[in-house]
Amino acid sequence: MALSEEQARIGQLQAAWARASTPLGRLASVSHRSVGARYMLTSAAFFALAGLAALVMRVQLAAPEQRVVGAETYDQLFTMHGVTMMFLFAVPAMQGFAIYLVPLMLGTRELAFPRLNAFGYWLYLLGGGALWISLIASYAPDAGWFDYPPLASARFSPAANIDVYAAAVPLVQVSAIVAAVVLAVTILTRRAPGMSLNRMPLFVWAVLVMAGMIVLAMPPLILDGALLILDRNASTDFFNSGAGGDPLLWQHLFWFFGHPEVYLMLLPGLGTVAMITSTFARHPTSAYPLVATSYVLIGAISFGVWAHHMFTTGESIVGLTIFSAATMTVVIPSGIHVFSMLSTLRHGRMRISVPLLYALAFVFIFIIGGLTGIQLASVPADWQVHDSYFVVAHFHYTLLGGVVMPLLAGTYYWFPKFTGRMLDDRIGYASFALVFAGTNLAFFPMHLAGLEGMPRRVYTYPAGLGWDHYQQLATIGAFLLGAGLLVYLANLVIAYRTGPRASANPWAAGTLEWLPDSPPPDYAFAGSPRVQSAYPLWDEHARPTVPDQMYRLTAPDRKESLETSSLEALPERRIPEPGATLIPLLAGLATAIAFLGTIFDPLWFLVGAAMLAALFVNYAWREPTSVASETASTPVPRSLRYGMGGLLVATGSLFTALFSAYGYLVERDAVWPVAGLPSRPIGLGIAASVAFLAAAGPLELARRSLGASARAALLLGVSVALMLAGLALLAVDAARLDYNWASNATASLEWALTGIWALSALALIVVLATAALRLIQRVDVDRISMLIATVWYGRFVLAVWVPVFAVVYLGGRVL
Amino acid sequence: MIQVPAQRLLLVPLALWMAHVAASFTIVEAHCRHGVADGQFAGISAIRLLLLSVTATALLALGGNAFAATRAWLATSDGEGDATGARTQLLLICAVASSIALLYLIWAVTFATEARLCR
Repeated sequence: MALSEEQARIGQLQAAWARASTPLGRLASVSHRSVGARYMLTSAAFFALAGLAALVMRVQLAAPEQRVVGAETYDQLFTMHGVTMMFLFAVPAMQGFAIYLVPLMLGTRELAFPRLNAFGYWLYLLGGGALWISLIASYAPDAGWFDYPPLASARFSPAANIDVYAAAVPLVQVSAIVAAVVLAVTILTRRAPGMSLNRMPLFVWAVLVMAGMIVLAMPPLILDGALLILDRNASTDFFNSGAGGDPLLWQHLFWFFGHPEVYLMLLPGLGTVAMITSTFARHPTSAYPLVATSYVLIGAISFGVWAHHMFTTGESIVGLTIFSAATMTVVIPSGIHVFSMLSTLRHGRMRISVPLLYALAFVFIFIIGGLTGIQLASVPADWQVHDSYFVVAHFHYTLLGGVVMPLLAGTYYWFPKFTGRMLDDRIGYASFALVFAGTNLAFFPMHLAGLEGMPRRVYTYPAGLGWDHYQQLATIGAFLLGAGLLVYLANLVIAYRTGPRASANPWAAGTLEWLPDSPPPDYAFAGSPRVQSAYPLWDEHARPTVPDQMYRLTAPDRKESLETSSLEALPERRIPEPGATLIPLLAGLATAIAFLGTIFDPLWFLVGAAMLAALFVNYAWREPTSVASETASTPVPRSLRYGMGGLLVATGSLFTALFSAYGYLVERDAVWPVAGLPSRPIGLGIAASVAFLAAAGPLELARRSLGASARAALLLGVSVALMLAGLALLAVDAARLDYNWASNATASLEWALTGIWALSALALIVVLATAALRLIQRVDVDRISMLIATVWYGRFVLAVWVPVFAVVYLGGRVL
Repeated sequence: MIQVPAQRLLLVPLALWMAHVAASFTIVEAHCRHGVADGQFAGISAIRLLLLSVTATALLALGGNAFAATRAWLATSDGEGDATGARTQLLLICAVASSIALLYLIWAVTFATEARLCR
């Protein structure tokens, strides 16, 4: 092909994919690189704020009987430090890296669902912003990052501090779920041709497992927050032991999320250090298949260990044994990773560099955290040091080692790709020395303070208990760590402004993100790279660096991505990509109103949901049709199927958590229904069920009548009408009851089950009604695909009604 | 080459684990809350026997799944019918996931035989 033709093609690609540089254009950008950069910068800002809070706490604790801050401020500081590090820094930072880098690593130009991805970021910013604004207003959460009732109940914490937590944290979790679905679908459907599952970079494997874990683990926490805010502001009794509830229910739901949270933060860190090790050893990762499998294993095991956080809550001995044993089994996959890393270094030609030093620091610090983790998995040992500084030391070693060190390594490693500039290695070595020394000096003495009996979460302590020196050392270490991070930041700023230019592949790495220039052009790749190994840039005979090694399967004059099969990455279809839009920002604002409004009144949720529904209908109506689906071999794009699957799994996880809460309280309470709740009349429930069952019929018929748009629209209308009739019957039934949600825990659960299901049904009604209107307006392949996906959601919602009906209407009779 | 649907093999451990938890919970609740099998003829031993039967059935099914996954993995790991190696990788994950679920079921045997079932 003539050079001029290639240049013309590049010109077309640049014009099609160019990102706006105006302030409004930047705000509206949905490009993965814009959104990824937003996530990284925002999470770094939250990290800095949480770090400042930590330094204030360290000054307070540097000597006995200090009065730098009072007890109430200290409570808010340690809570915000934990909440920020866990919810606003670690996961979003990892997701930011993934959002920016995964498409480049996969050899594709964009993530799946870019607008959804941008929407997720705004939720994160608004949720995190609300939490920090609350600190300025002295209303920050103050019951610890895990927010246990009864301390978090309205009785013991009547001010709005806990409401802020219960509203804002779930909002951030929704953001994480959105990003997880986007990343998982991208990884499973957008890989460059030839990049089969076993040729994905290990970072991508780690992100895939992380995404799956987020979709399963975070809905229970969202539910937990919703139940807490209802307990506080609507007088329900989920966690009220005086009315059949149980504070430990909170802990089960929280830790079912909380422990996977630790591993899902850790996994991308493992992937990062694996890639850095491989690059600087100039050797493929040893035992790649086992390492990828170990990530899956870590994810699976992490769901079976949550109760090791609850060893002191009076569980049965058998329960303690299994959770103790399960916790220890995590050592096996973690060990596979560490030994693979050491083997890679042993068999390669190691080049010492700043990113590799951070990766080695990961091994050192993470192993210490892991070893104390095994000690804590032993029940008698845990009973001795529970809630002491030993635990604080353990999890800081785990998270500094498993999250912060890999993030510092990754930032240094990928900075040239992000900015096109190289960092200064001398400053890099200096900052590493400070960070490494500071980390160990800050957190190792805490082990000893804990073994000497110092409890965590105390704002001061008397002299003479043997804790003073440990706390002084920890404070010195914390400032050393802070200084190291400041030097690291200075290096970033200096390099960004004046650093030497980076080549496309300055580290001579083997993965695809190093193929385009640094920073990559807006279109990223001139074509779809051909991939024949896990390290395509190291392939001697098939290196995809020249145009002839690129597939040209997408049009250059419009934004399109290539969809490929999940296992083998065979090309399947072209997917049109959207342009910049402010809709994600507006939808984010509406969602934030729905969640944050509940701080003042739970009914605000309905206001926000109505605004979101209006935005959705408006957007769906105006959505232009696409032109690029003619190569489709399957009726519904793979990304749409998987995206809908992700939504269903997340919703299913939420309902499973709710049913489990019901089962848990049934098992805990001697009498069920609690306090002799009158038997619920079943007539209207049966009538509503008949209406819902009948709604499923036209829904299925509509799916089969897509060729005839008027008929399909009519059938959808009938289905919507039947569902509305069913919901009206439920409303009448609720109005006739002799009790309400505040009567006791049984009543609260009945109302929660029907209420949350009714919200899902209302969402379905909005979507179905919109789909019917769109069918009348115009029919094309994309709209039919959307409608089929909507029908899947409809099947799910209607199927969930069956267990909801059984529990709400029959539970009281049978149990 | 043995054609085993690897994606299904991956879902089996999850489905069996969930089914086992649900069945065990139902049996224990029926006994402890509603007095099912609390007489002299069929007492706690009968409940334990029922739990063991459910667990043994799940063990058999999962063992079969682990065996099928491992056999398919061994068959494909020499490259036959799997040019890219993607299927081999997925089957390895299936085999390991089944093994983890087997560990849970082995623990469940201890639970069924030793644990105090009712509060």
